Amino acid sequence: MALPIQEILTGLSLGSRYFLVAIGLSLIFGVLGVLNFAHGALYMIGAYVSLTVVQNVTGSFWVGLVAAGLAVGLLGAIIEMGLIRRVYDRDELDQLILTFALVLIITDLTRTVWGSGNQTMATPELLASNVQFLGTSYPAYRLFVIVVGFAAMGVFWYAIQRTYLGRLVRATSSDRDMAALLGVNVPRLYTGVFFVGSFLAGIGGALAAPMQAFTPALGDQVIINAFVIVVIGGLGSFTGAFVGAMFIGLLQSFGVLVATGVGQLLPFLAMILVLIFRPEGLFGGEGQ
Amino acid sequence: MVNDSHEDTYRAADDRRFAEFDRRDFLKASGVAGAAGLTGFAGCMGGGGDDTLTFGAIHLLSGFAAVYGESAQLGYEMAREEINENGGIDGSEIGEIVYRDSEGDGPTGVEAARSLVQEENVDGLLGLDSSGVALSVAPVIEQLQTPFMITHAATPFATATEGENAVGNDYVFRDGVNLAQNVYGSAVTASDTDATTWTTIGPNYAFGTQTWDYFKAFTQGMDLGYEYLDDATAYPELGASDFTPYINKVLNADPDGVITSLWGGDLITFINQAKNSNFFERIDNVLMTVGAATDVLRPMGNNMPDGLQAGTRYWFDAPDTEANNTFVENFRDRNDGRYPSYNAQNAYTALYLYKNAIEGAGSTNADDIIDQWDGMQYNAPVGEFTINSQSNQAVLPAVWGTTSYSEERGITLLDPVERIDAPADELRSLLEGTDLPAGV
Amino acid sequence: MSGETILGLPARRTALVTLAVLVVAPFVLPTFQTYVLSEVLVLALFATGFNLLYGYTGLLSFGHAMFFGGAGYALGIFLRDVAPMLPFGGATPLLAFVIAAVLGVVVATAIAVPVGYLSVRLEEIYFAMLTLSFSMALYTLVNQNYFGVTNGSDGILVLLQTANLFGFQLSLYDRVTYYFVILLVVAPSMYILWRVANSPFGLVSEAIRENSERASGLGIDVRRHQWAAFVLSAVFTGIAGVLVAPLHSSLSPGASLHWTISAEPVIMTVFGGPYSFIGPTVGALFYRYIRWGITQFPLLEAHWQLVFGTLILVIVVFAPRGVSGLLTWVVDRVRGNGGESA
Repeated sequence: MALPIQEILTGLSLGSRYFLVAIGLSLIFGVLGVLNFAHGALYMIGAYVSLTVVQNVTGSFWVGLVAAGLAVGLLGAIIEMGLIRRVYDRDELDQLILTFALVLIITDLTRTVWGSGNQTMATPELLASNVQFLGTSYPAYRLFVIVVGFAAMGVFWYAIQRTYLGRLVRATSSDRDMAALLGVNVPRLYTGVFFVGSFLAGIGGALAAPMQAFTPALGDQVIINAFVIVVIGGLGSFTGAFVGAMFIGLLQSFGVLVATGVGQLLPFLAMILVLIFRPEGLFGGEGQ
Repeated sequence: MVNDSHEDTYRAADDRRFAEFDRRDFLKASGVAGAAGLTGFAGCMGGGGDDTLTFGAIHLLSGFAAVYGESAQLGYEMAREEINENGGIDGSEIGEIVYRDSEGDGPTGVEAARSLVQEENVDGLLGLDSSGVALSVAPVIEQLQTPFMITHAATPFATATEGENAVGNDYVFRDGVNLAQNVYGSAVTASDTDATTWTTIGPNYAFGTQTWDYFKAFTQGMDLGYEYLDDATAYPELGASDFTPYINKVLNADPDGVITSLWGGDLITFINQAKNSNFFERIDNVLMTVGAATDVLRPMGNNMPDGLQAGTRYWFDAPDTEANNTFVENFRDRNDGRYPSYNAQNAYTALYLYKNAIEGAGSTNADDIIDQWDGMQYNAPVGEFTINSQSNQAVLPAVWGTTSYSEERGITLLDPVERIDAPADELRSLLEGTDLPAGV
Repeated sequence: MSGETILGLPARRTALVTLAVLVVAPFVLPTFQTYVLSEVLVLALFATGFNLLYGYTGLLSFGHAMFFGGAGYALGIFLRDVAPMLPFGGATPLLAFVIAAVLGVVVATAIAVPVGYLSVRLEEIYFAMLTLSFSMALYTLVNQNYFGVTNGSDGILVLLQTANLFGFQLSLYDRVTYYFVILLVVAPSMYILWRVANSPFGLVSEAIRENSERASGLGIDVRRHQWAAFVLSAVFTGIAGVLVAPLHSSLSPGASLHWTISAEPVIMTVFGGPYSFIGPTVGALFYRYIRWGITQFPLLEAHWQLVFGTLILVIVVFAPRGVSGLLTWVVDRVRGNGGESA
């Protein structure tokens, strides 16, 4: 029976896209303590940058992908330096509302530049076919997205656990003042973290562009899922973001088989259960 | 619903009590802190003067479906310029069309309607893209006693006057094809196929489930002997990024035919992902109720599969009349060769319906306008139609056809295309015994 | 008591003057402005009720729509399904509304008791996320019509009728009449909230917000107190919810229960300033009139998200205590410079 494999692959490819948003959200929260509501909007910008680069500058999907990551990363760094930095010592709520205001602004500007109609982008030539896989036929592009999700997790895990920079990030995340005393340039590290988180969101958006029609409201559709994922996985935990993303992807994919609307209900029920029985999230409180 | 007519007038008068207060009077008197800077300015702008007419249009202008508001604006502005160039309405110019964003939400739409009537003193209202908003706004329109020509929202309940949840009333009209008319066309189209087992894939809200309910009711009324696979129906949420699980669910049931009410970006995403699963090879009869909308066909380019049955509420190639051909030609001249969407046509026609009514009555009085509309016959680009005087719904044919990409014109066309007459009596009799109103 | 102030002005006198202005307002204002002011009153209660939990107790709820919309839905369903069968003759429209409103508040309370019990065990962002997930679960249930009475995404209409009280016609839907219905409920509710905020209960709340460990050390049962504050906050939110449904004349999952509705009191509170009683009210006033001001200009309306977003951003970045903080500062300056004292 081919069905379960299809559902699993669909869940994983959904999960991979969610992961690229959730990991930045989790990273930024873990290190900076800021819950970035605008992260979905950054994902959306990634899709538009990629579309523009592919259609108007170069025909290459791969150039578009990298350009989207860099452009959105840069935008994130600018937002951090220009705005978020001003409210670090304020209530978490002020930071949340500030990023909510950014969602409104970014969405409106995107509509002004690119229009409100649906945009579509062709699947890159190399991955346009279907692959025979475990007795089922599955689009190569989706398998590629799954690979990117897993690879991103691998690179991330290595960078955080095994590199000097990763240690700096972990140190700052657990005690900002101590890290500053030990000579870490905290403001620069913050900007760097915001750049990396936004970069990944941009990549996520660019990867989504060939899979679905999109509008400037694309970000609204992923941000709440991303919140659910980081909470279930554990705020600030990379492993948690990964497991949470795959879990929600699979839940939505299999929920279809149960009853209408269950795919939307289950993530919230899961979040309720996790928060009640393990508030720090499945992988929270275990370092990173 | 209020049955007592005395109570009706009572209610309406209450809301209009202060209507004679002009916005400017208020602004002069207003000392609302903070807003004062803004409002002082606003007093200098527009507003209903004596020899110009003002209309208010409520549309989706933000969010994922903002494209509908945008294309309606193209239709309004084109009609407004044409009318003003040709001497206006009974000699009066159309001054401005005041646009308000419904944000797809009932209270915001209701507030916009109130503000347009009570603050902007508009001579008439138009618009509404979302059925949910239309259902919230319709009862308020009755209180405001201002004509409303719905151009897009398709729920039959907005023009139904009997039964639970019906909100139709004397002031609410519609010049676009409603859901019942459109799905009636799909039932006729289905009856030409040899498919007998059917299911649906549609958006997870009233529009999706009602499309299926009406399809079942019509085909049952026609005694087609269909089997309905209710367990295999799939309702993905709006804006779903992955339809594959839903596509698989439908494929596993192996129906002969599938009716889909997915629209806009969701339809585009669905079609692209369905192609990956060879959906269109495995399902012989796919009926897309709003598949031939230009807001879908344009971004799809040559990616729309050929040979599918697609419906629309207006098709730019049909009918082949002077009214339609001139409209399409002028519209394309104004908009970089873009073909008009049904939203643009409905908006364009709605403004002309106001012109017709006001000139026919020789007055801009709300009750005169609705009297004129009642039973009015009009030759629009969409074809000649009558406004049914019981429902206030334009009796329009459902347009259905077979998709076929045209290299020459750079867009998927309906070829052949059929305008399926949907007489009000026929729809009502087929739905008899169900709790579904025809809304016409 | 005499030392209490609102925006730097003496509290009692300011409240009485405001009330007098509110009583006269609908006779002076055009119909539409009466509508907007009615909504401002409801939103002020919504935001102040929310702030009892946030500003005073330090718990950020991101799910207050479940009380606001939940109460509204209970009222709407009762009016639709039960009210037509009530035997009170001409008084039915009025009594049905009163019973439905009480029922709505009871339902909001009934949701708040278990949800609050579970939620207050968490802190900060975890508390916010748990309230968010409860309210979004309710949103999904109503939207899918799982209960069978909510009519799914189309929602339900809430249209009040005319009561006939011994020959006297009382049209509840009349703009001015309904304004006074709202004022009659909101004014005492605000007074009660004010008393609660300034009572020992409110002081304990603030102590918990500032340092829950120390409060606990003083023998305060922190969770119980937070739970009580949660339920109380939900009760007033429910009152706002039953008032707003007939004002808007309809209920739908998107406009009554979605998380964006939960975000409204949050934004209004940040706008106005969370650490004063009057902050959320000032926030509601500005939130509502700025949005109205934007609609007056076609160019701004076409880009209202940009305009609104920029305004929120500027206020958050440059006015840490919100608009009420700015106003207090202005009042202090003016009164200080004038050498006057109250």
